[in-house]
Amino acid sequence: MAYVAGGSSETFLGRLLAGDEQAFAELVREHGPGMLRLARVYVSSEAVAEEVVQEAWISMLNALPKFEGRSSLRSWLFTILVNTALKRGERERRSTPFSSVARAGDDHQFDAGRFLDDGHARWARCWATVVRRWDGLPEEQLLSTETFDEIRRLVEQLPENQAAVLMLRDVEQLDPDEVSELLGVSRANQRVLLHRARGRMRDALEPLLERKLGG
Amino acid sequence: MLSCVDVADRITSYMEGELGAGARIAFEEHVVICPPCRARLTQLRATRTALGGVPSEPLPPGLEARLLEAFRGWSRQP
Repeated sequence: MAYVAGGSSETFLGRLLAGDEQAFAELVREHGPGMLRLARVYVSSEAVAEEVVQEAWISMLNALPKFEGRSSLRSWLFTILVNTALKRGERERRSTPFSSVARAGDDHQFDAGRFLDDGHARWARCWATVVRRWDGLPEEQLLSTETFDEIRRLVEQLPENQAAVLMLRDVEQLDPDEVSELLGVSRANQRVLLHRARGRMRDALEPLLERKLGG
Repeated sequence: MLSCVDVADRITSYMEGELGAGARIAFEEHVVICPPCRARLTQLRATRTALGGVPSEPLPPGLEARLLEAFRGWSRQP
């Protein structure tokens, strides 16, 4: 189900505005889980993440009569969620020790040490390590509970901006223009964040997936 | 001719379809003749596939109940 501006979404919005609880429940079940996942990127506890989601839905309901359908309902919901989570995250950061927000930093050097240096006589700037293909991995092994647990673990460790871009682009699969607009980042910056986040995710998955490949 | 470092730097732009025609051709010319870079591309594609497969967990029942209660309160407003 995709709620987009125009067409049947107007009927759906009409049901919401008329107080149709079934319509609201459908919307919550479709988008609520993704909103909770994204809220976890910005705040430190599950209880606060749930509060952020609840606050975002209430904000959405209060703004609903003015919703003009210039973006998809989904994109609008995520925008409200991010704004709510950022405000809540700022309050949390002001009242918690610096060490608890270490994830905001980013000094990771993607691929550092994997290449031969510029001075190498024959293979300058070539791979210094073996790079194995992952496309032979059966889907049930790639899309396994272990893989998903590893992804969830790493998302918690990524810098906030990388985690948000990765969640919205690769997990929720929003399109790049929607993500740029809702996070307020340029396409170029989004690409840099996505590049770093995917690189780190690849690094984190490597031991598990190469073990499955028999390495 | 691009180096392997250049290809690694451009891999997300390539996957995003954001390289211009000349840069895309240079990227693909390198990847065709370089097995490690070709393998690297399979790794990043598998990573993206795995991320897209993360299953959605239902909301905790308590939160869903609170949201429905909030909706009832909202819809009763004049």
